[in-house]
Amino acid sequence: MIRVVINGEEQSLERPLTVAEYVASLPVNRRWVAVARNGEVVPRHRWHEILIEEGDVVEVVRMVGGGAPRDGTMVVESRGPDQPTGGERV
Amino acid sequence: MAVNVYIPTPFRKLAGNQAYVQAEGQTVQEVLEHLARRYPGLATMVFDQDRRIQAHINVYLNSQEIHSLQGPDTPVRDGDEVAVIPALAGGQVLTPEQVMRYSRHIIMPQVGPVGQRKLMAARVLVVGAGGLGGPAALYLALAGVGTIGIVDFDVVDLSNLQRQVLHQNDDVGKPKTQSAKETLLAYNPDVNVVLHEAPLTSDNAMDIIPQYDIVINGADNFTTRYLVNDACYFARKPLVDAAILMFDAQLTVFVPGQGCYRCLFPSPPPPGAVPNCAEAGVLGALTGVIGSLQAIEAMKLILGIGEPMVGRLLLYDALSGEFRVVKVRRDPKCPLCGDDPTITELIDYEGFCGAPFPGRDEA
Repeated sequence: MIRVVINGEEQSLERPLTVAEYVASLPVNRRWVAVARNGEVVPRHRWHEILIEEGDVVEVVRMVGGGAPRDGTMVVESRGPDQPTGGERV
Repeated sequence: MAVNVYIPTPFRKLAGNQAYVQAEGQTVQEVLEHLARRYPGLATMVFDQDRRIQAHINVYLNSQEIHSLQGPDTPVRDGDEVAVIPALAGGQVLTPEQVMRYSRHIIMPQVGPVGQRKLMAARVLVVGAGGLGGPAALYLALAGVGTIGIVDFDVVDLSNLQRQVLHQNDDVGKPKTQSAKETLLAYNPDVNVVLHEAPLTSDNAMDIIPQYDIVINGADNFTTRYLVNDACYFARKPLVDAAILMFDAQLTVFVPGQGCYRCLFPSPPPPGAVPNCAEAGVLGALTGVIGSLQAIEAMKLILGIGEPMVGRLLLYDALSGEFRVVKVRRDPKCPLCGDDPTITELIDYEGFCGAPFPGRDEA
């Protein structure tokens, strides 16, 4: 087990993981997050080689469009398994 | 000695459209002569036939007028800032009312009278007169930023009033641009508010954005967000970008060639996959925090002070009360600003994002 800090919270991982492996374990689509390790965003093409190791500080940055559509159309029901759940700080 | 020379808007065309130019010399005179050799058009504006600085040109070294120092022979040091300010029709100096109005800015050496004139000469475009664009435009107007452009197509809705400070109860149903202009001028009639009352699209972005020095992004959808990112890159304009949802916010400054939104997020999620504020909600006061930070970043860029958030992404979690900053670099594989770009002009953003520009149907 290794200890890491993810989005400000201490967590344990089974073993060191590549960024790609870690993101794959999350209930989010990999295309809609950016990942920073120890204060620096990891370019997407390096996700397979950069390891998250003991003591690392990781930020998973979710894509945010912001604002509101002008007609306030509600499409929340389309939330599927790709979506971050309410309890997750992703 | 290498110093930065601030070129005011009226002279910028003569200096390659740059706000700051590096020049060398031991004294202010030598720096200006070096500048004049590189930009002959500027030489005739700054010097008379005897290579003396023209009487109607005021020269400042680090915000101090050089005649209060040692005149043109004032020595310069590495990193100093020289500003060349012409007397303009409409007043060479700040009016007494302006001095009073902006006194809490002018009193700070980082702003001073020269900085105030930079603010008054600046042109900032605010995309969206909503939650973020509102406080951003408001503080820019209060600071006397000379020209504030507002792009919006929408009308004020009752549900906007929980956070959008430019609009009041009586404004419901009014175009947001009009309501924004009335509010900004009521706060400060000294600024020029330019309205672009239409959705920003691929058709008009390259007409509108190049008219400004800096763009503040308060877009509420991915289609506009990618358009603004790409258009600012092509127009070589700094973009003060931010996005908010629920209790979370992100903010950064993209300077063309030093990273862009696509370096972080190369492609948008399909419509509806990432909730927006109408669906998930947003804390009203959060828009005030982040919109104000956008105004601060724009003012830092205008004044050339501090360290703009270029290459750094601010993450604010209002619930935990934590601000975190991570570094962002230009991705050499970025499709827009990478080494082998595949996007070389504005594209079909509605097709790319799978969603129309909001308001396009009505336009």
